[in-house]
Amino acid sequence: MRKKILKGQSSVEIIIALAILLIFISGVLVLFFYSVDNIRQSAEIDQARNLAREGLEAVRSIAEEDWSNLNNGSYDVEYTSGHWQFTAPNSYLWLGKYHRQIDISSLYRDSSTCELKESGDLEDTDIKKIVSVVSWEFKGKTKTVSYPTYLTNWRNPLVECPSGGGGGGSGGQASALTFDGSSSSRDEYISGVNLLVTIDGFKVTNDSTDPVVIDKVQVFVDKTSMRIFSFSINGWIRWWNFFSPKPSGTILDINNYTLSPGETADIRMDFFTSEHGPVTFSINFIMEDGTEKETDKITI
Amino acid sequence: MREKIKKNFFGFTLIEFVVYISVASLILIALISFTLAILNMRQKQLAYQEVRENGAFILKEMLYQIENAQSIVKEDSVFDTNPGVLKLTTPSGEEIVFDTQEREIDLGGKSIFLRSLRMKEGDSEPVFISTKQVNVKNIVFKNLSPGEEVRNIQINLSLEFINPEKEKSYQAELSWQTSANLRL
Repeated sequence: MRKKILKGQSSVEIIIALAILLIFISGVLVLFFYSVDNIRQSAEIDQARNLAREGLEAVRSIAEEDWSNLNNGSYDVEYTSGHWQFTAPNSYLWLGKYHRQIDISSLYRDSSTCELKESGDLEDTDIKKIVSVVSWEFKGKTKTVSYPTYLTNWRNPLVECPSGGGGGGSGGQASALTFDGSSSSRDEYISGVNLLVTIDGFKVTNDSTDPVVIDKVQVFVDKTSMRIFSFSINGWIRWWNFFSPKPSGTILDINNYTLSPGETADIRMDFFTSEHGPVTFSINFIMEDGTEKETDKITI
Repeated sequence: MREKIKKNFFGFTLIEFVVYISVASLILIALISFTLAILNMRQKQLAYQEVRENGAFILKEMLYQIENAQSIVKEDSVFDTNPGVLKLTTPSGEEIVFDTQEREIDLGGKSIFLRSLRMKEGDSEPVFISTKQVNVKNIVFKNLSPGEEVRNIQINLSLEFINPEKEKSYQAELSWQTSANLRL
């Protein structure tokens, strides 16, 4: 008996084809909805970042007004009565959906290395850690953006680093230096068309039993036209720049001059200037270990 | 025994044809709606992206210039008003001005007006810092400094994708609020 041959598709085949098509369509739809969500979420993250940043800037403004306003704790910030002011955290709904919390905490120093730490016994009251956190709801889930920063009381620091960066013992190498400006002298003379001033005879002594190394110096003078072009120790030029003399306060790298225990060295400095008359100067010695010591002001 | 040959019907009956046409129409309608929905979503996505990128660029430029400014010229700036104006001086003495200008653009043969943000550096010509696809709905600068010197500026910015026909797929609007302090 010849077998019956059925051509075309059965309803089962059609249902399977439709099911595959539906799965494909729903997959594509989910992908598209997901990408639209992503764009919206990115836009909200942008808004949250800007609000978090505003929190940090507001705290900076409060600190500029008075550093002592920065007390540890959690706050939000709001502009009222002509000032940024701390308020209770998460008390306001920014742009209709974002909460903001600003955490202020202390930072500490390592007692031997002066390194900054999040915990310890030696609090550095001139520096605070500020974290601005913005949170909001997105599709039933809480999202957060967090910006941390350190603010420093650099305009008016109240504390000194305990050891000045280590090395050299208590107070560092700079504490070993003593100064004698009693035999300092000033000479003025004309070279070509330039008025030159030389300050000579200033003495610096290493009063400790260990050698100390002077890395850099800063020379401060009261005359604005004075430009230093050479700095010598014991008759040897340690730094010079005849072609580009430097103004008051410039850090001069004298390439690590070692002062032996008990040694006294003579300092000589040469300047270009356009002003005659007495000069008030001081020298800041910056040691190899980073510690510094400045002389008293001397007028000659 | 002679094999009985069964009668075979080729082609469709009317009912089969009607059922076929109905199913095919349903599938076609679903496919067309699906394609249209995807195109609309794609358009909305592009509109949001354009608005977002404009906002990010504008704020980045403004915050950078404020933070690095020497001072803010209070007299020539317009605070607490939409549209605002912000004038800064740089450490080199150059002046930088952020303001807005109405500009006319051609959109498919139709001319429309939109408000754009611009930045002027020194003596050079102002340059637009928002694109022709977005309208600056709101730009307000607030002086939030505690003292006489202007040091803290708040920026409120709202941008919308241009949509003169009010089509749903082109509706995209975003707002930002942030602040910056002078660092010098």
